[in-house]
Amino acid sequence: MRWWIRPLVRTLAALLLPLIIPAIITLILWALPGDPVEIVCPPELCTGGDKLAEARRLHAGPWFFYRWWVWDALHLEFGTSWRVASGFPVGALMAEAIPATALLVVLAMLPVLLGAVFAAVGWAPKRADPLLQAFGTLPAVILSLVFAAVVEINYGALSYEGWPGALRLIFGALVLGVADNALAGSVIGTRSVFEAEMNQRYIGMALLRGETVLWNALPNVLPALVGQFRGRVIHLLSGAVVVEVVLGISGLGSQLWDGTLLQDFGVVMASAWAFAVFSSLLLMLQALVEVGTAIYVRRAPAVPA
Amino acid sequence: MSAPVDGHELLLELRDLVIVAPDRTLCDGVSLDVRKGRVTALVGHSGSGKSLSARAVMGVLDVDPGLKSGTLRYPALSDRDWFEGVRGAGMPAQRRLLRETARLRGGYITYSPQSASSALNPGRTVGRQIEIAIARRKEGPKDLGQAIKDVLSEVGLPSRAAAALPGELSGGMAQRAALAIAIAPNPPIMIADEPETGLDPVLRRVVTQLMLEVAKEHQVGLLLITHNMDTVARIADDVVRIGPKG
Amino acid sequence: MRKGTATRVTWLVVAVTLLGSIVVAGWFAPEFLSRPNLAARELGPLAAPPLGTDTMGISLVEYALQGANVVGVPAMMSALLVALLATLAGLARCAGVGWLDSVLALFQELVGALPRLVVILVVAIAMPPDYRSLLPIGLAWAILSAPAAMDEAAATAGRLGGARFVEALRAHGFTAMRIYVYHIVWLNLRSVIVRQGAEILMQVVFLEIALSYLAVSQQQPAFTHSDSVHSWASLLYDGYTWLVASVPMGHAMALGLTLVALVAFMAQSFRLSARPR
Repeated sequence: MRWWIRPLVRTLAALLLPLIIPAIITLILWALPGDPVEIVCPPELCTGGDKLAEARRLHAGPWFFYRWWVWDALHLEFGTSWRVASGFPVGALMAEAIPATALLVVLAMLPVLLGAVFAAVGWAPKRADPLLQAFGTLPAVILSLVFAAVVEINYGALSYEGWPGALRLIFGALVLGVADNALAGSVIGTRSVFEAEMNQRYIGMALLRGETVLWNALPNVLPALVGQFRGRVIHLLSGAVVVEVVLGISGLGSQLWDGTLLQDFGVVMASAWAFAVFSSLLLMLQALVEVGTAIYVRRAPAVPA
Repeated sequence: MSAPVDGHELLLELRDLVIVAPDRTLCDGVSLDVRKGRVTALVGHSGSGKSLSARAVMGVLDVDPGLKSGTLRYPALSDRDWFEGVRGAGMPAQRRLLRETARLRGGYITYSPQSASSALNPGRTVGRQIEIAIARRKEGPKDLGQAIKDVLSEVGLPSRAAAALPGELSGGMAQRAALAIAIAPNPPIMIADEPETGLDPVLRRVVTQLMLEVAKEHQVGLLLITHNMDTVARIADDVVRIGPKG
Repeated sequence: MRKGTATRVTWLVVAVTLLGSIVVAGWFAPEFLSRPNLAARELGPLAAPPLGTDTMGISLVEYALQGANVVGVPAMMSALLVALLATLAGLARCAGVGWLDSVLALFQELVGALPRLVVILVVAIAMPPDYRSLLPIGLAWAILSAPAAMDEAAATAGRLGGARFVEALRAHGFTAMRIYVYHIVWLNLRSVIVRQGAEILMQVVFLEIALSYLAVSQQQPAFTHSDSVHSWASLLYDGYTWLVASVPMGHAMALGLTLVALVAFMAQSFRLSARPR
């Protein structure tokens, strides 16, 4: 396969992803039995369905609804919540939720990245793998509920502010970073990438030229490492839903959960779209690294013909 | 081992090299000299310790317990016995030797591998690899591009090969590229490890002849590892034979 | 029988027994829980064998059986789907069908880009309100997890030599069917397929527990089962109340954790049974 095909496919996927997710949800909304307006705003539960339909173009059919939703989303306009926080702008809900999720994921990346670095430099012995994998087998939901219990026992059930709030975040990051094989996968995955590369003949030749191994190997392992990094972040974003709900962290994950539970399509579309945008950015990053590496690898001094 | 030959400076002196693994002896009493402008052939059948000896003279010992006895000198540099403190001291001492000899490898003593296609860094163009090798010269060239072109033409490669990745070269071209990288730093000593492996008979002759010409042209002391006696007869000035028991 | 084979067979028997127990237990699950018996509420296994009772005096055995019914078949189907997709990817690599390889690569890129639980929640919202089952969620999870399995299977097939491996065996006189089914799938891909399938089996069970737990902790209907049915998550939730509010339901937590551990052990048994020789 030519070197530019994978990055091109990734770039295309990155551009399509934020368009595909709202398309799928739009299709779901129109595929479900009944009038989309009544699905969104059941007459027995809410009033103002016609106004809502007018505002969100629900009467105009799926294509217009989708087109205008995407257009508004690109202008960061997501309408109002229909059930999660009735009447509240979804954009404002997202603005409150995104920083919490971002912080949670960044903190969770610390053990994951540390494990990867240790594995890369050979400080993560293989004999520790069974222990890491045993911890990794722990489902995030169980670990989360244990930590939630710890916080609630010590600080009360409504302890979300100040130090208890920070503790929930820290525990959440710990759960995300360790459970569901996050840390184990990072250590073992990074080690296997480096081991496979170190076994290549050219590494031994590099030693015979007096060069350092890392300088020789890095451009060749970088795409694989970035791919793994992207996979880890996606994994953490996925796990954030459970962790946020159990630990009571008001992030994008718990917002998506609430929206799904209450069939608030406005919140679900916006939250899912935000996750899709994060994923797109990661895809673009990977594509950029691949292109950058390919350009770097193909550098050659100018030689007269 | 060959007798001393006047007029050809002694560049490398190895005496009584013994390398052991936990269950057997890998090299048993290998001794050789490499002299400026002469080709020393190191012959022996597969598994006799030829490549291991070649790596040992470069300071690369990756067997445990490894070096049991022997001396290594580069007389043109100093009287130092590089195996001092390493004999019988195991991997830590061998790792220290690896670090200490790093500055010699790739500049003073270079290595041209067998089956070069898999031995060259797939993540660097040939030109870039030659550029890195040229940077090890005592004096940098005035015109880098021209210097790379000169090295390429010496080994019979066109200028456009500089932009090629190793994976884009044929077996013969890769072997030439490996030779170019080995000679680019103008090293006093070059080790060619079974350069004919994987090549057809015509190409084998071409490559070995090329090595001989380059060695003579640059007055390089060439240590040629081979089990091909025709090649030995054709180009070697001195022959060292080794076997499992020396 | 050689020692290695005997060990693998033993692990396979253990794994199949555990999986079979879950599926069969599900068949015996009551459609509705028994009537409450407040006189026997919150009793431990010793007072109310074999597993104790909940806060309404209902035996935890019913919870265990209902939970098995919720997860058993869907988790198995999801595992089979991943195994099938991985097999296809491995065979495609060996078949040397270039365009199919590229299509699979594109599929892997697109599907692998999505946070899985986000997609699962989109699937959940797509389900009609009166249809609640783990099956569509499990199958969606399997599809989302397939890229990794397919990658590994394709890489394993690639290491064999791909189409050249098939050619070489054809030259030995083997039929295409034998080559693909026996030499490639059974001898070489089996380990990857079983391991990935076991992983998904475990993940789908844990996914169900997670989704049900989130719902039950917020007193909301679950996506994976009807209101009259209880998932193993209910045991964990009762155990949680024991932790924070000292409700005497520690035995529910113990049972929940034991069931989780058994599922993990089952997955590990499958992996060990398919270890390469």
